[in-house]
Order: sequence, then structure tokens, then C-alpha cells
Amino acid sequence: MNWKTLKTPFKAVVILAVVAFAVVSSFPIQQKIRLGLDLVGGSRLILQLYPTAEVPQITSQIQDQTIQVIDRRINELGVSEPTISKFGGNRILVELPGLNQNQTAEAENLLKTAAVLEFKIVPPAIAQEAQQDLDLLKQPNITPQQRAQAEKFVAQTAYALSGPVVYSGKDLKGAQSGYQQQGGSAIVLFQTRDAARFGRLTTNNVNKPLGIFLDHRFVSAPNINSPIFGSGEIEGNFTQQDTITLANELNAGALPATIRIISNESIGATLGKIDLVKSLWASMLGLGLVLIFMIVAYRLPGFLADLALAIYVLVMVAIFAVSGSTLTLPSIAGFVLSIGMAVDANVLIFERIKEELWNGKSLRAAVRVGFRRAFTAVFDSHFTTIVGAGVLYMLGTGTVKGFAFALFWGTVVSLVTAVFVTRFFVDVLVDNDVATAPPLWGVRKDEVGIFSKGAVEGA
Amino acid sequence: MFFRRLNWNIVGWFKIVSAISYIVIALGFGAMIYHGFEGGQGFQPSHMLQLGLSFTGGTDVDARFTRPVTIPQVQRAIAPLHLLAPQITTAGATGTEIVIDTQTALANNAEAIWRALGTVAPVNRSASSITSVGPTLGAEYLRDAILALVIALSIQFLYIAFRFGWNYIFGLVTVIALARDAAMMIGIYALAGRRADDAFLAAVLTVIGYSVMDTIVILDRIRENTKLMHNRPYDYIVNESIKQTMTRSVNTLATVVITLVALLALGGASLKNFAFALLVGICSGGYHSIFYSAPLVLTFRKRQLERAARLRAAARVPERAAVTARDAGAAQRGGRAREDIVAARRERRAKEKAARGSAQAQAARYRRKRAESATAVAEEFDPLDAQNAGLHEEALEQGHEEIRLNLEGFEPESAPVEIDRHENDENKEE
Repeated sequence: MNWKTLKTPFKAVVILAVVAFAVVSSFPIQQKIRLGLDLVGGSRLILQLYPTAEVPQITSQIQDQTIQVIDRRINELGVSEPTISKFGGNRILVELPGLNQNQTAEAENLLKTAAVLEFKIVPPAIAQEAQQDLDLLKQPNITPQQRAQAEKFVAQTAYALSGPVVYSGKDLKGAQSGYQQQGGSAIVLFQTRDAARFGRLTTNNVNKPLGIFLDHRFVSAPNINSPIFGSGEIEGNFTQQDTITLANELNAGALPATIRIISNESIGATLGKIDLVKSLWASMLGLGLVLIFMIVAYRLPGFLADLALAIYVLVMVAIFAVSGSTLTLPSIAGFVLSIGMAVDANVLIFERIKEELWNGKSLRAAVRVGFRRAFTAVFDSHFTTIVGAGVLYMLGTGTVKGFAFALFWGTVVSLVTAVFVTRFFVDVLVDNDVATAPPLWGVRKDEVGIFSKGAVEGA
Repeated sequence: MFFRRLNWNIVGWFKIVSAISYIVIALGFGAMIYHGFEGGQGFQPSHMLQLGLSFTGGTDVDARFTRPVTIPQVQRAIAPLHLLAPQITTAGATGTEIVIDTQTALANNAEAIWRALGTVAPVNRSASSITSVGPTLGAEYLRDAILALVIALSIQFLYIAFRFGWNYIFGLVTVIALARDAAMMIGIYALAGRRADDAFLAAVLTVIGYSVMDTIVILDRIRENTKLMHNRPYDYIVNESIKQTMTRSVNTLATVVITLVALLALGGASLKNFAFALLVGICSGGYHSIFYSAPLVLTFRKRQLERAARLRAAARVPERAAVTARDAGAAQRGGRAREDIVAARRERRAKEKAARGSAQAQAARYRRKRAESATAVAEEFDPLDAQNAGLHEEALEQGHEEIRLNLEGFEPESAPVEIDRHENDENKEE
């Protein structure tokens, strides 16, 4: 047993493994492939943060705080799977799939408004219940009914049942998460801007819970243990993550950056579904025509190239499933274009094989020389396309990125399938002397050797 | 097989091919200038090619009402919003779909326009869409798009230089073909009055890559055939190379075009946008790389030889001195002294002149030359000698279909290109 005899089975196993992996990782397809907003309907918004008197510069931290606030507000709106992320140095990208008409109007307002942080004196019973509901909401398995009830209390009732606003978040200088000097438990440190007023407030309400509300939503109600003036600390049964979240929430109210929506792409759900169906049909038609074309133009090798193309399509679907990148209309366009380009390599190779047969080479030699000689051209075509797609992916805007992503990976994958996978199929046939009649390879019997050296010289 | 059998003289079509390409580009640029004067405020370069709203900033609303509405109704409804230059058009057959284009960015209060439209008739929001981009963001997108173009072009140029470093004509031809494709795409977009948007940028970048590779394949074949068919004239080699690669070019074009046509026929609006831009670019790329770039190689070659001939004619006056000067130059350029080869040629030509007289002797000599050329040694082969010796007719009889421009047939691999050119010129003049 040496490499020569093992080569073919080894390659077969590799190809089968790739196909199996591709099928498994992309099944069930409806769950694995994330459809873009242009196909399911929804809004894609870019928010710009502008500096204000309190926030002279938009930092990464301010982006984080704003994201936290937006995330909270969008969740209250009941949007399923929103995506909120940093976008450049001073922007936030918000993607809201499947909004209904009323929600879009509300979402727009929520996103633009700065966070409002308020302090209220809360009756101990209310504080306790709000805290319990807040903990309940963190539990993974509660009934929707329980969730709705708890949510309502935390978001609305607690605020309504508490006393008047006694201190505003704008008068807070800042907050940081930290550790207690003794014991080392996680705490939140904060500084006030109006030390006299905060001191008066805390002196008058010692041993009462001071409720913190962000956008009317209950955040926390720590007990006032002693009067606080310039700076204080909030302690509790906190994890480090809790303190970071709480500090961010205090800061969000303390540092309201001005927010403007600078890009808004909203597509109705029905419209998206129509586009999805249309483009799926279009890609099926494109794929089908290419499959037929290859068989008509190249016969047997064309059929083998079609098999390789089928593997290519499976791998591409798997790439979309595994990478978690969304499938948008432009990425379908890139995908379909890459189907047309994937067989380019096969066209180059098969034309070469035909020429070598015309030159009078044996099929075996023609295949070997054909693949070798065509490779330069195949590499050229892939390289130049990869450059275009790569640059577009790095610098393109949101919609074009999808096109570039599909084209980039399509070109990379097709280099493998069109050259190596097709080569494998062809080699299996040729090495076993199966189907070696020239007509099957697109060359008529009387054309074999028609351009061989002797023939040309004699003409 | 089909294209190889055809008796096409593609090289001879060069003028027509070039003219068609020029006409399309000229029409396109004419349209751009016309657009530039549109609006009655004198010539405004920014109007020449309409940019998509993602580059200029603006709003595009596609509203579907539950009952038919008219454009004046919509106009009245959105008047209080004071939109900048709104264009309102109906879409679809039922009259319920209205498209509004404006340069005002409504991203920050998109609800305002829906409220305004709601006063005309109830809007089916789930079948409507809005796209709005702020002007600052648009300017950034445009900057990124230009940057992307510049980077992609630079990488392609580097790649072309890497591939054709030894032959600046090939590199130049690839770049010119690429520039023509870009000009044609821009021109057709201006003619069709379409907006150059994201999809256009994507198409330009894709087509640049596609065009470069298509051209490289054909030029590579010329390079390969120059070695294989060194006893044929250069225009024959170029023509044959085009015919040999034509099936390939047409088939690769066909596979891409059928997928794009499928998208154009069945796809949704934004897919159609991509498909249109790509179709225009890919077809133009195919046209130029098949019919334009390879014949252009020949034109450049001709020009190169003519210029060299002129230079030589100018420097010719005292013959001996010119030869020495040239040899010094050649030695400088090629790093090699080639006096021996020049001397050998001189001697051979003198013999030839003496032998000119008996046609039989000429024919014998031509046959011997062909046999020798198979083993190809630079100083022993010179196809122009056949013509000088009056053997043109016989060459035609021997299966050279046409020798229109018998410039050169052979580039010795080992010798610097310039030197051979000079020597061929010398022959031509004599």
C-alpha cells in the first residue's frame, strides 16, 4: 500500500466528509440561515452620538452606556432578536427585525431620546417587590405570564407608586464599579455634582430605600445607611458584572449624549417575503441554466463539473449557516454571480483538454496537460475577483458588504471545487479507462489530432 | 472548434470595434454633459452622473396605499414637510404604489412622512419601505467608495505589472481595456439615466477583476503562440490566439450572463439593480477583451516598430557611427554586446542580394530557412528576409492565408527585445 493506491480513496473520503459536514451544519436550513432585514422586513438604523456640554467627547465607554440604554428600551418594546452594536467611533447600529407599524414609530422615538435617570424615595414594600421581580426576570425559565407581570411592575408600577423625584441623574457626576476596601466585595462608587442637596436628601431619609429609575424603570433601591455628600458607594450582594451594569446605568443618566438617527432603512415584512421568493426563484433558474449549459457545451466533463457545482452550492450554504452572517438580497446576487463564475474555471480547463485532444494527445495526457496549463488562467481569474470582492468587503457600506462576502467566499470555494473536485471526478474516470471516447469529451472522432504538429505542417 | 474553423480576420476589425466602443463612450459622456446642463443653472459637474442616495444623502420612500391615489394628492400631503426637490412617481399597475425621491434626509424623523402620507389614504406599512441616509454619512460612503476603487485598481495594476512585467505593451493594453470598461459602464449609466449607487460600485469592482482576467487569458495565449508559431507573422499569431481562446471567452461570458439574466428577469428590485450593473460591465468587458485588447497589442507593436525605425533613420547619417552608437546603446540596455550577431546578419543580407535572380534558388533558400527556424537560433532566422527576397507570393501559396503586416514573427527568448526590433527596422528600410 503506497500513496498512489491510497490517493483516490483518500480524496473520496475527504470530499464525502466535506459534503456531509456541509449538509449537517446547514440543516435545518430555515433555522440555520439568518435572513437579512431586507428579506424578513424590519429596520436598520444608524445612530450618531453628538457631544454635549456634559459629554465633551464621545468615547467607547459612552457608546457602551448608550447601547445599554437602547437595549433596555428596545427589549421593553418587545422586539425579537434586536442587534445593537458599535459602529465606528461615535455611532451605534441598531437592527430591528419584524417590527409592526406602531412599533416603528415608538422605536424611532425611544432611540432618539436621551436617557432619564431619576432618584425617588421608595416605600420599603415596593422596593422589595420590585427587587424580587427584577431577580425573577433574570431567571431563564419563567412563564410568559409571570414575565409580563414582573415586567410591568418593574417598568411602570414601581415608578408610579414611589414618591416624587428628589434628585436628577443630570446632577450625578459619574459612577464606577469597584471593590470594598475591607472584604473586597463588588460595589459601585459614585460622585454627586450638588453635594449639599444630595447631603440634605440623604440626611432626611436615613434608613429608607433610595430608588434609582432609568427611563421610569426600576433599576435598584439601595438603603441609605448614612448621609452622603460628595461621593458615596452602593453595596449589596453584587457580582462584578452587576456593578458594571449599574455603574453604566447611572452614567447613562448622568451623561446624556445627543442622539440622531442618520440612516434609516425600513422594509415592510410583506415586501421582504415577496423579494425572498422572487430571488430564490431567480437563483434556481440561474443555477439550472448553468447546469444545463455545462452539459450541452462539455458533455461528460460538463456533467462532472455540475456535480462539483452541486458540492459548491452545499458548501456555500454551509458557510452562510456556520459564519452566522445574514443572507440579504445583495448577498444572493453575489452568490448567484459566483455560480456563474465558479464554472469559469471548468470552462478554461475543458477547453484546454479539448485543444490537447485536437493536438493529438491521448485522453490521459490531455487531461493532465489541460489541468496544468489552465491553472494559471484559473488562478488569474480567481485572484482578480478576490481582490475586488475583498476590497469591497473592507470598505463597502452595509448592503454591499453582503454581496462582497458572498462573492469572496464563492470565489475561494469555487477554486477548490472547480479545480480539485472536478479533477478528482475526471481522474477516477480516466484512470480506470471508463468513458474515454473522445465524443464524450466534446471532441468528434474525426477531430482528434486535427491540429497535431504533423497535421499543421502538412497543410 | 467552431470559432477556430471560422475564417475571421478579427485583427482586421480593430477600427470598427474601436469605433463602436468610442461611439458608446462618446454617447455616454454626451449624456453626462447634457445632464450637467440640465436644471438651467449653467454647467454643474455634480449633475453629470446621478449618484445613488447612499452617496449623496436623501430619502427614498416606496409607499403602498390601500386604495389608488394620485400624484397631486401626495404632493399636497407632503408639502408641509418642505422636502428638497421631491420627485413623485407612481409604480405598478394599480395606482396604489407611490415612489418619492428627495434629497432631504428623513432618517431622524421617518414617522413624519408616514403620517403625512396617511392623510391621503391608509398606507399598508408592511408592504412599504423607506431608505434614508444623512448627507454626512453619504459623503463618508462616497469617500469609502472612491477609496475602494483606488485600492482595488492599485492592486490590479500591481498584479498586471507582476504578470506582464517583461512586456509593457501587454500591461498597457490590459489597463486600457479596463479603462474602457469603466468608461463604458459610466457612459451607459448616464445614458440610461440610472443612479450610480452601491450596486454600481460593486459591479465596477467585480467587472474590473473580470476584465483583467479575461484580457490576461488572451494575452497569455499570444505569448504562448509567439513561441509555438514563430515562423508566422505577428498579426496571424494574434488573430489565431483570439480564435483559439474565443470559445473559452464566449462560454465563460455565457455562464455569467445567463445567471445575471435570470436575476434581471425574476429578481426583486434591488437584485435587478445589481444584475443590470453587472450585465452592462461584464458584456463590455467581454467585448473589449475579445475584440479590442488583443488587436490593440498589434497596433502598439506596429507603433513601437515605426518609432524605432524613425529613430534609426534620424541617427543614420554616417552609417558606421550609427551602428556603433546603437550597439553601445544596446549593450547598455540589454547588458550585452551584440556586434557578432549584427555582423552575421549584414553578411547574410549581402549574400541574399547576390542570390536574388533565380526563383528556384530563392525557394530552396526559403525552405531551408523554415527548417532552420524549427531549431530557432536568433541570428539565423529572420522572416522579413523572405519578403525582402521577393518570396511573399510563395509564402502565401504555402498556406499563409494573409500577410498584411509582416513585421516580425519571432522573439528570441534569450535576446533583449529592443535589439531585434532595431534590426528588423534595418531590414525594412533596405
